[in-house]
Amino acid sequence: MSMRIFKNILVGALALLGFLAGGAFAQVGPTATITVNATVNATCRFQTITGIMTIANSGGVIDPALGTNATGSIDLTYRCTTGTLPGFDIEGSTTFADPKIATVTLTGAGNLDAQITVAGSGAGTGMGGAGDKTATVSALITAANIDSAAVGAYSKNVLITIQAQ
Amino acid sequence: MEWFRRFPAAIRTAAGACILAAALGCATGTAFAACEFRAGSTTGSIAFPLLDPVTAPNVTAAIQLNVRCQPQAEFAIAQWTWTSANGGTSTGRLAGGTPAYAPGIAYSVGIAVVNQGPNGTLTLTLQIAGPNYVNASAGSYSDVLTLMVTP
Repeated sequence: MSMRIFKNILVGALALLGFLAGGAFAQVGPTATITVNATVNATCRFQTITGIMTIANSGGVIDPALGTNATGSIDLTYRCTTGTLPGFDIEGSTTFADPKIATVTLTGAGNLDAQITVAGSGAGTGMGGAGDKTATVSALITAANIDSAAVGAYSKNVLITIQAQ
Repeated sequence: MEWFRRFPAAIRTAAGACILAAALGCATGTAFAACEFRAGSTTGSIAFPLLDPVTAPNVTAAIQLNVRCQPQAEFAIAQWTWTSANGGTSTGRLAGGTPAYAPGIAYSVGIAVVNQGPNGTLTLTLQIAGPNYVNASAGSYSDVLTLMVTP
């Protein structure tokens, strides 16, 4: 075999080796690499789903003679995914916020407007048992509203919704 | 070899490559690693279903990889090992979340092998237990698993 033929074969061999090293052998082998992905849902839930709040300015009742605001509050427990902030909605307004403020009308002997505020205690720390947070629901009926109210009982079922922000 | 010189240089080069390829084919046939992942099975990805920490069920995800062992019908996959980039060799671990969830989300790795010779399949089944993500931060998590088959 002449040197020229040998050179031709050598060049072809090098080209083939380059092809094999660059592609063909790279597609098989004793090792496989698998990428694993997961996504944790951001969510919030109430743990306490019902409660009764009394609004008063004197011994559990509203006394118009005092000329003061009547207030009330109740705590609800919630949990959120760790690091997730809660948002609250009152009576299906579909606008979530923390705090959330809305006016509702109590009915009974007449109508009595009350301002309801829901305020959370911060981002969630998980949905496990140690993740309880507190949402404080407070109510305010101004003295002006009380002045014109008829004597009797008033009530209102207020729907509060929580969702991840 | 005078006849060979009559061909253009390009053809002579290609012929040389073919001769060497045949020789390599014989050589790799005998020195071939006994088991290897087939083309298309050396890389892959697995995505778990969306993890809902409210209900926190156990979740699984799987992928099937094709493996060939030679000589045909004589070799089965005898052993496999795996390593998690964020975990180790006994527990996989997903890293991520916002804010970063320091413990990560641990998952188990199960491997089942079917068939032998050139048409083996290796099914990788991953499972996250509910308690492992009930307190995890929201967001995306990932890991890289490296598998090796022997012999």
